[in-house]
Amino acid sequence: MQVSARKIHSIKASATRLSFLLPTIFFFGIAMLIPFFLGIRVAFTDWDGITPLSMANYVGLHNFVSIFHNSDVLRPLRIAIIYALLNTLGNNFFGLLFAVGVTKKYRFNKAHRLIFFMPAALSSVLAAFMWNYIYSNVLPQILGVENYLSNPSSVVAAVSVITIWGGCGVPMLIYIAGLTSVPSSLYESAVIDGANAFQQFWKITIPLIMQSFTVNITITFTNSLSSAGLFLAATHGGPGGASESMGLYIYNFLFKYNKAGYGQALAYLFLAFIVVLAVLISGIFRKREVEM
Amino acid sequence: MTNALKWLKKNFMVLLMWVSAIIFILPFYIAFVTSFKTPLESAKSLLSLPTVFHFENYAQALKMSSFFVSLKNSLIFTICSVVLIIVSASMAAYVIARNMKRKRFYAFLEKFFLAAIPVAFEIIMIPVYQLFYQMNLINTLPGAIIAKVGMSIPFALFMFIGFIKTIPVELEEAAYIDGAGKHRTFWTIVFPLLKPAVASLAAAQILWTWNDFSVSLILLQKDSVKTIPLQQFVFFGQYTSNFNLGFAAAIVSMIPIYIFFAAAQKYIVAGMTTGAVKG
Repeated sequence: MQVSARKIHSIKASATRLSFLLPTIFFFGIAMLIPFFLGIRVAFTDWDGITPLSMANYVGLHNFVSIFHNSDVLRPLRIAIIYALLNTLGNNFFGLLFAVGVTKKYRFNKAHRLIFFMPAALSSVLAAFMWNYIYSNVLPQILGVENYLSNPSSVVAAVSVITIWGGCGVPMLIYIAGLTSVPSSLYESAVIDGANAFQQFWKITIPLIMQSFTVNITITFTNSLSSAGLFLAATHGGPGGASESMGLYIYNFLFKYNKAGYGQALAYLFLAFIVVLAVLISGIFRKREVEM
Repeated sequence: MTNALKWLKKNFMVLLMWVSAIIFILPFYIAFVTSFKTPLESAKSLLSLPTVFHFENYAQALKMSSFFVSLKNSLIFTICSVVLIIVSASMAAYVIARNMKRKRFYAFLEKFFLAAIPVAFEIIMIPVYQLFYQMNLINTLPGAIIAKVGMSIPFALFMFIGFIKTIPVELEEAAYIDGAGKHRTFWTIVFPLLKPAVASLAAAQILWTWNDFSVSLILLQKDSVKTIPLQQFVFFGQYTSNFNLGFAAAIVSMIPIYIFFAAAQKYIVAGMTTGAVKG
């Protein structure tokens, strides 16, 4: 008798615990979990994205096999990787540079920190519009250069410039948090030992903010890989597909090419690719982290 | 000469910051001056201040971009999403953080939501579109809100779990012994203690949701439900020949962003860094 009372009590306790999860289950279920599994079904069909999914034909692994036989997929993949590399380099280089700069004591250092972070508050649509004007009117007129957004060989780099301007403020903040956590006594004893500014930076600062590197590099790299929005807003993927990133390419399979099944198969392969890279990259940097 | 070199060497970094800051603010300056000029005027001199301030650009841009309709949509979309993200994620984080040490199911949930963070919206937008279409949620603000909340929960959860772990359990146990239920204990004892985490997460999340482009691009395609970024995407597409009107619309849309930015800067900074630094 006592045992069953305890059992009822424990069932009640589990139910209470689960009730805390209900809102999350609802939103996450509809927005991510069900779509994720529905997507697996889509990836095995020839669904066009327009007619009801139930009318689509099951095609087995056909979509996955044809991705590997289709060299068209290499172009968006290359664009995504180049863009992600440029962003990761640029965001972290400027993020760290500005973090080191504005943590020095001089007049207006706080104002500069604010200015570097300001573009991060803009939507990709706004940033793309502002830079479209700079690329198409301001730079050609002042520096006499061509419009870098309309040249296939420079468009990806030109879009990266927009992202770096709009994004390096966030890694800057993370690096500032890392830099201010390095104890100043370390620098003091290094000065006594006769280390110059560069040696201090390479031997003390860099190893001790390795954790910020891990975070910034992994986040920037994986986020930029699947990016679609900025390319859509800045160039629509043009000229001639030269800036059709992987995210945009997948988007186009639903809304433009009407081959949603194929697009979804590609999306999953690409997700697997991103996860493998993320694990590799964060593994490489984690190993170099120093415990304080 | 050597003195000048010495000065340069000493102040090189500061100088570099000044130059960079000017370059960083230049696009804003260009947007501002262009928004007040006529196309002819800005063709003649791109960077000069306008000789006459053409405020009619603003009136025209506001009307043509149906700014106030999209402002209303953006407000509804952002406020509802952020409130629901905070409520859902903090509740779930609480049971996960308090049970993950003893119960395998909750330990699994923590890993599971952590694994969901890198799944970008682009990866599942095709089935999201299909599912929401079937449920008649396309072109409705509730649909977009559900999608945004669901997509944002994993990161918010992860932040809250980290924070709740630092709160001692004893307070809750005392309340629990006094006869308060779990839900009451959470809302009266735990949630108030989460205030710093809520403030910084809400601040960062308001910015991200306000600027959301991908979720609304897929789910809000009708004019009456478009948010500001989406409305501008269409509007800018039509006005690349008249940048002056476009910039007037752009400047207007920056006003709410930077008012919020000025008011909540401290929390935005905290929200964008704490989750990441804990890593």
